[in-house]
Amino acid sequence: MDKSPAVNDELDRSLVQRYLNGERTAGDELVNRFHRSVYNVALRMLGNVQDAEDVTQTTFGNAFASLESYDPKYRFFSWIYRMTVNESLNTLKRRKDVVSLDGSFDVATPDASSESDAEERVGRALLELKPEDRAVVVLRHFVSFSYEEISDVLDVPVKTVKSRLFTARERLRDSLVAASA
Amino acid sequence: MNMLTPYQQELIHREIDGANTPEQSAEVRKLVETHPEAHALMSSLRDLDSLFRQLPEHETPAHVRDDLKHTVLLNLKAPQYERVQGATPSITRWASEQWNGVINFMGEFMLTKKVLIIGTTAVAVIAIIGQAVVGYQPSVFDAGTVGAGDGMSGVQQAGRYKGKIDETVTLSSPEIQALFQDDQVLKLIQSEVFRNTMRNDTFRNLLASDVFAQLMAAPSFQELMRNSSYQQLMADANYQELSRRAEFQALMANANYQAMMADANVRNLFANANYSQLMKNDTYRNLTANETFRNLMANQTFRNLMKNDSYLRLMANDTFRQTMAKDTYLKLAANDTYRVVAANETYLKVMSNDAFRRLEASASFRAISRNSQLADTFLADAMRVARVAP
Repeated sequence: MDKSPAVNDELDRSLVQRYLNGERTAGDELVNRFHRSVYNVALRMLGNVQDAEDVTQTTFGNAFASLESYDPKYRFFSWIYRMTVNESLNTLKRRKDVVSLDGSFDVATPDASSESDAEERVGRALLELKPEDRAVVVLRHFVSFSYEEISDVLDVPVKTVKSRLFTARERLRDSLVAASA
Repeated sequence: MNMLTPYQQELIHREIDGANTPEQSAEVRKLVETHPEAHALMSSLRDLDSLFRQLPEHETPAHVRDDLKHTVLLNLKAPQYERVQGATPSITRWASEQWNGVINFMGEFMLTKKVLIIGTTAVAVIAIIGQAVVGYQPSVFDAGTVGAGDGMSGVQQAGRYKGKIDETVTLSSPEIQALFQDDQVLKLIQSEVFRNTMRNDTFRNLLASDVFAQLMAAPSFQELMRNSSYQQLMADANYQELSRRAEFQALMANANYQAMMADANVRNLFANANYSQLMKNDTYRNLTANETFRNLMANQTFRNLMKNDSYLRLMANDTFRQTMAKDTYLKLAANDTYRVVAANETYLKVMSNDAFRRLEASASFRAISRNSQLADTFLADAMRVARVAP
């Protein structure tokens, strides 16, 4: 299930450079390449449409505002996903002061099919994970990143990625079994 | 049933993730065939993976995509200035893209749902322009009649002729020449107050910014400038005092506060969940303890302004908010001239002046504004045009 844009570092670097040179369409293309996956990562991290929208907007706002500081020796997608995850984690921290994460999940699906049921179940189970573990699961299963890519995005060792992922899966499995019981 | 070793568990997880070598995959297959617990783990992880795959990818909402387009536009830098020799990175194309972006932006602007109350922010822009006109009593656009006075206190003057003018920049672009043909624009450029202001680095940086250009192009902003409630608020001593306070400015930039004000029921804010979050914000708590702030909240003019559609539309404008977040603004907002400027009538005239808007709408002019020496040359050219004109 590869739902991420095709990794193309050269294209991304080129688009960044062209945008910095004043070419608006290059910026539009960068947005087109990443908006959906950024939004979906935020949605899975937060389980709330409004928050995901805000994180998406903030992520791109910050990215474009600081594009000049982007170092092309790093991969653009790592950079923008890192911003997305960090902004999502910040949102969760802010939200924690007001609303307890009681498993409330607010992601509408087009219909009430089995797809919707799966959405609800997985969404709730994801929210029961620690945010750091959730980030690993989201990047692995919704963006199809490798361990190394997740390590790059989250700036943690590969060993930590695997540890978090394996643990999170066990918990997800337990949550889903308990929910269906 | 034997427990799986950590190594065996990792092998199975890696198999699900497609991270095993062929040899490791063979090892996993053998393990699953011979080890019930391995089989169970593999089966459950496959089910989980399958469940994830069933989930749809959600479309980014259209209004978010539109906002992202604005983000692209707002952060777009001007290309290299026109070059006298060699390939020309087209400033015309860039200006055209800017214009198209503004058109699109304006088309959607009125549909923006968020309504944000950022009282001081509009004043900040006022301050930037107003510094140019403080103390200037007669017509703003009468060249050479009146000086800028001493209203520029607190604003650092740009050093002039610090170095050689960038040879890659030219004033001969058709866009600049067209500006010189515009009587009103020419008159504005030739006015002493404008010429003095153009020597101010901060002012020129603002003029050069894309966000300011778009803000100037927003009808709601122009409408606001002409609104009497808004003008009264700007002249209100309590508001002026409050708006100079760092904590008030911080509040205006606070995302929680903005979110609260974006609520359609903002006037019933006490029932809003965001409000409780705001209440936990130290900045806000400090502010509410401030007597000036309380006076402002009780001020009828301020409350009238809060009901004004133009003002609310402006506050909903991302461009406007981004302008307010710029260092340029923050620097000027802290300026001593700010209070005086906010109440200055001449400023309001300038802000609603068509010639000024046309000038600011020019990408070439904004490019020129980035360079103090080029700005000097531009002004000199404008004066020369005046001398040779019939």
